[in-house]
Amino acid sequence: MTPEETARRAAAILDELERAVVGRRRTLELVLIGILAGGHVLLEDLPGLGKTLIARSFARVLGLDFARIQFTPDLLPSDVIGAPLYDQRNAEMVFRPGPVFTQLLLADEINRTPPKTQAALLEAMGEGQVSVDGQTRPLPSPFVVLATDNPIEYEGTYELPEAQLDRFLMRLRLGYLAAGDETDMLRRRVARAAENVALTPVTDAAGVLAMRESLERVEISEDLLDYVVAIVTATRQDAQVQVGASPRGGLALIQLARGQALLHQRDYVVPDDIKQVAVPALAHRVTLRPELWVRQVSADDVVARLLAAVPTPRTDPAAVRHGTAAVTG
Amino acid sequence: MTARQQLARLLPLALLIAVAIAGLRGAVAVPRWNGPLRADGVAIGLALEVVLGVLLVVTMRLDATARREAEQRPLAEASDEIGVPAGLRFALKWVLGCGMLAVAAALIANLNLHFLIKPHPVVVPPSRLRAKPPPKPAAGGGGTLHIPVGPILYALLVLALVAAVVVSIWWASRLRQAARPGLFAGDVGAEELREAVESGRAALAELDDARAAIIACYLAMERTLGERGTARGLADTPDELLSRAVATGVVRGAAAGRLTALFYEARFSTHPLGPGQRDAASQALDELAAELGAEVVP
Repeated sequence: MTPEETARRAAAILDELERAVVGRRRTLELVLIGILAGGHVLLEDLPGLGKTLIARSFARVLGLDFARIQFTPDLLPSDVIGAPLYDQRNAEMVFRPGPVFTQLLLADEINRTPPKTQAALLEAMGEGQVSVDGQTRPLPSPFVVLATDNPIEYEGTYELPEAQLDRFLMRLRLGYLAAGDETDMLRRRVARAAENVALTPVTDAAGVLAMRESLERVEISEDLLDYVVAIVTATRQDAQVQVGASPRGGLALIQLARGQALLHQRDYVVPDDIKQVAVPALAHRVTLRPELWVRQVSADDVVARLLAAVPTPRTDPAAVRHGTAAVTG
Repeated sequence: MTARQQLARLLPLALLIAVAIAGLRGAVAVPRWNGPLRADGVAIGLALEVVLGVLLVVTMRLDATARREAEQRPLAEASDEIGVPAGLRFALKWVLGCGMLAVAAALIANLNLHFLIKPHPVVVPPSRLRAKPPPKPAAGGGGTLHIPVGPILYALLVLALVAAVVVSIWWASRLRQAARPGLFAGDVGAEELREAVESGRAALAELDDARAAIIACYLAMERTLGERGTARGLADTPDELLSRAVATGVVRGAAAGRLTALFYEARFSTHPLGPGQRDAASQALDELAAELGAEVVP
């Protein structure tokens, strides 16, 4: 599939999704970019903002197998990845796959379960496989986790550890709809006289994999790679940051920027692509100094500030090659 | 309206009020200040001035820090609306400033300055004139040099206030001109853009290679803008620079966007570029020149 075909298919997917998810085009674009980049997405915001709806709608429109896990404090790792059971007919242990053996997994309210169960997802998310009883079992392809996270409740919740957060390619915050969009959403609900919108699949698992392959053909120049490294390095050197972004953060930024370029029907990345996805790609990988909590400074703010300070590639490629400073920028 | 524009509107008014108070001082009677603190009034006033001044400086520094942080945020997040903390700082600055002015006015009023009020001649009955000889001057008092500190201070205050009124009115009119639509909403002026377009067209005509020509074209434009003091910021992208130019309203069409897209393609892709892209760049430049009212060279 060429980048142009991928861009057209992506536009069709987004249009179909917008029938159910009103007023969140940019969020849908970012989730789609995350899926095309082969990553997992964390949707973090207050209850009732459409996180679960977005995940369900993506599963339907992308034509992927879908499973949902409602994370609770008493959930066990075997409830997620599966467990061996004794089969009395054959008198042997048989592995019963858990809900993680699907193509699109909705991990709902992932911070309601203890770290032990959260960690059960680590291998699945990182390597696309599950090891049980010394045997490694590959997960279906594509395997995408869309997790939701409630940031305001502290009672009975377990904050995601940094290692788990780093497994997510991006973290998105939805926010409230604009007044006009909210009215539109209500109007549509009244007009269709049904709870759910019947969405039509636009593609299937093979189509998603083909779109992923086309993303790998999007080129990124050397100085843009340097730009990405400069941004990641800036997160490590900033005075407000305790722990900066990992090298995985740089990889995520590159893949997401390629996806962003693809959505704009380009087979090359430009600096604006990187800037537009840097906050969702890096903010959740940055740990701020504790005292900033009092000042209500968020990691999103810090990454945005760094983006406004890190120099973009120079206009003149000759100046870059020869190390001259003909024109800054 | 930004905080600066609000300040520019309020400052001349406040200063005019201060001038009026100072002027009235020359025409009305001395305020009575017969309380128990009369002896220490000046010292207390000066101490109040110092305290208020320190608080004002601290508030202004906090405000400047917040403004610097706001300037470092991405352009897309920038807003002219005043937030609650900024509003509080703005109000505090005004309260402290007005407090300083009020204390200064009270101090001046208590200096017993009468040089603007003509002293009423004392009518002495002729009989007394004849009866009593004029009193002799005190010993040693006739040779001392008397410096009228009070009137000098008062005159300096009035002069400073008048100068401040003039400067604030000039500042307010300058801000109004800058905010007027149709001129320069950002820092990119129409004349600069016109010269930039001409530079770009010259670069495009000189080079045969499409990629090099398009890059040189954009480079020339950017260099011209830079020489005129509107260089692309270190962390800006070309799209952001041209967005500012479009935001001024000087460039309204899609030509600037097309030219930037062509530059991006030439700069960041490796696929071959043909004469089509080169012609598209030339056409975009012509459209830009036409929009700016420049003469199009065939």
